Amino acid sequence: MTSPPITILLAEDDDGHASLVQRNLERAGLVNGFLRVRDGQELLDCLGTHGSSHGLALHEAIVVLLDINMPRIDGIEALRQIKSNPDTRRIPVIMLTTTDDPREIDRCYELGCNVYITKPVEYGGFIDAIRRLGLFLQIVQRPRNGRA
Amino acid sequence: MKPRRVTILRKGLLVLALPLLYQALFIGLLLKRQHDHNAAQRRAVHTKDVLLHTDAILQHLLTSQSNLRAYLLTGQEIFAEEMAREEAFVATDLVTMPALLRDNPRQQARFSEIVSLIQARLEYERVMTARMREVGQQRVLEETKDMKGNILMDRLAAKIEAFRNIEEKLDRERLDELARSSNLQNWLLVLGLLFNFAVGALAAVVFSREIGERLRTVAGNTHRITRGEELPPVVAGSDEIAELDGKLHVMADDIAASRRRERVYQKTLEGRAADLARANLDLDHKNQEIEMFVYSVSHDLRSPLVNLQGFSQELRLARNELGRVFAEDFTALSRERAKEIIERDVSEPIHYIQAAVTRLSCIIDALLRLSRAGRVEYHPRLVELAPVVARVVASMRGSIVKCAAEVTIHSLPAVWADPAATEQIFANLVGNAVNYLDPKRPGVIEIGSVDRPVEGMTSPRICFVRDNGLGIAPAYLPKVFAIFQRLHGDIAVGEGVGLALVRRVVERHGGRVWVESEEGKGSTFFVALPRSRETSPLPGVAPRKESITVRTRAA
Repeated sequence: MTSPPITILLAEDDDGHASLVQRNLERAGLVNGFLRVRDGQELLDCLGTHGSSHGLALHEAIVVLLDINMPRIDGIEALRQIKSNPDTRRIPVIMLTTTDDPREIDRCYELGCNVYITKPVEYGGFIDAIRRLGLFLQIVQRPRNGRA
Repeated sequence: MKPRRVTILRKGLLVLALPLLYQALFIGLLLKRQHDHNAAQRRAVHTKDVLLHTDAILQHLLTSQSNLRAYLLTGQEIFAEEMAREEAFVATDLVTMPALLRDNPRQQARFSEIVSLIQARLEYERVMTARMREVGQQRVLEETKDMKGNILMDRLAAKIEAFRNIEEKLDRERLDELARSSNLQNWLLVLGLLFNFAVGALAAVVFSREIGERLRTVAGNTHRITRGEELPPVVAGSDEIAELDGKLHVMADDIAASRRRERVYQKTLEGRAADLARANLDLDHKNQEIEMFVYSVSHDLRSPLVNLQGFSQELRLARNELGRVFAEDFTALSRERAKEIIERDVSEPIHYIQAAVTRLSCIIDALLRLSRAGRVEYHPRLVELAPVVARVVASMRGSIVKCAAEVTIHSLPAVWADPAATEQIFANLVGNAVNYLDPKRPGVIEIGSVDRPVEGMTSPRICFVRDNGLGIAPAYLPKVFAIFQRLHGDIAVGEGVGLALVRRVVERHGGRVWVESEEGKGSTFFVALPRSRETSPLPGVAPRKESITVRTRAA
């Protein structure tokens, strides 16, 4: 069984981290759509304009991987904005960050993140989480989009 | 010389003495009055006596005159005899009179004039009687025609009358004087009585004001002393009240001085306490800063570490891939060469890089854990240690079985602590005990409790974890709880942070941790924790759920 097409949107300011994430995703076969932005502002721009600038369509499956420590708009604020916007709040968000402070983790869950992963990443679990999220997204969102 | 003191007794005596003095005068006055009355009465009686005698003399003289006349007219001897008897009466009276008149020389003088007249008259009568016997009645009657006897008698009567009048007048004057005197005395008595009342009342007022007012002041002073107020000047006078007030002033001064001293001490103490509090706050800040620093440094270290770890992994994968590629497509010679490069020049560096990265990662994790131990919010409650230790031991069953150690859990108390923190403490202590067992003998680990005093703690609960492991050399004992101290670095894996963590956690709970050890025989770690909320420095707050690193949640 082939993986459903998932567009993975990575917000990460460290090039090395971004490269590692991409490599691991490709190795796991999740190559359909990978898009990297450098900070929260760029991520919000990207989600706000949807397909027009980045070729993303609303009906496409998107998973956001979000770092916390980023310039301009940080990951927490980006998460808050994504989850408070009715257009984007269904997009699954995986927090992918070096911070393992329990308060920070709690805050992210309170804001509505779906998974919280601490770097250095155990990529097996990470890929697994992405797959599950992607699958879940397809099952839940496809019929709804069909009706719309 | 000491001045004479006017005591309250003396004042009281003075107040009593004033009326007494007057009463004495009063009695004296009464006595004098009595005496004056008696004297006046005596004088009145005396005057009556004088008048009586005077009248008697006059009467006798008149009778004797009548008898002389009768004798001369009748010639009967009986009248002469009668006359002689009367004359004898007069003579006796004349003897008594001077004694009665001793007190009045002027009347005495007058009376002596009367006496001479009386004697002249008596002489006349004797002469007449004698002439009667010598010359007979006829001649005598002739001789009496000159009325010499009558004239004499009239003069005498007039003199006596004057004498009487004077005596009576004297008597009246004396009575008047007596009346005036007693009148004056009456007034004096009344005035004196009024004066006595006035003096008594005045003395009472003065006394009560003098004593009462000052006593009130002194009583007020005792209140002022208790309230710590300033006292008015010492009350005037030299009596017991002034003395008492003086002593009160001394006492008040003493109290004020000790209050001042107390204030100084208090201020010093407050100053010290404030210094201490500041120092404590400062230390607290520094500690927080250090923990923050450690936290952020180790946190920042993670980011490059992620790259190191990730890319070394990439390199490893690439090498594997490269190996496979070479194995398929290249000639034998170049395959050998490529294999050599991969094995020697790529694999070994990758191995060391990855080992270093793993170690670095462990250290950073440990640092983060330790810094979090100082910052994490605890939610203390009464925790039964027995199930906690049982859980810890159960989770280590694998390694315990591996080294064939025997673990005994004795009875354990309940302590006032954060449940997760107690688990952390015992996981570290039991873990250490298991890790540092002596492979030369079967391991024996005991967990139990003891009861002994601990400095700085009130009735603590003390648990111990005892092993028969490698033990700690005396020189290393002081360093056991310091961070990154690994005494047996080659024996077990670890970051050297466990005991530092235990100490930090226990001390944040207001407890103590210490070790007794003998190298080659084993170590005993003691943990003292508070028994109740009252002896714990941690505030009791509602618990918060502990977070885990990775969680999934359905969207």
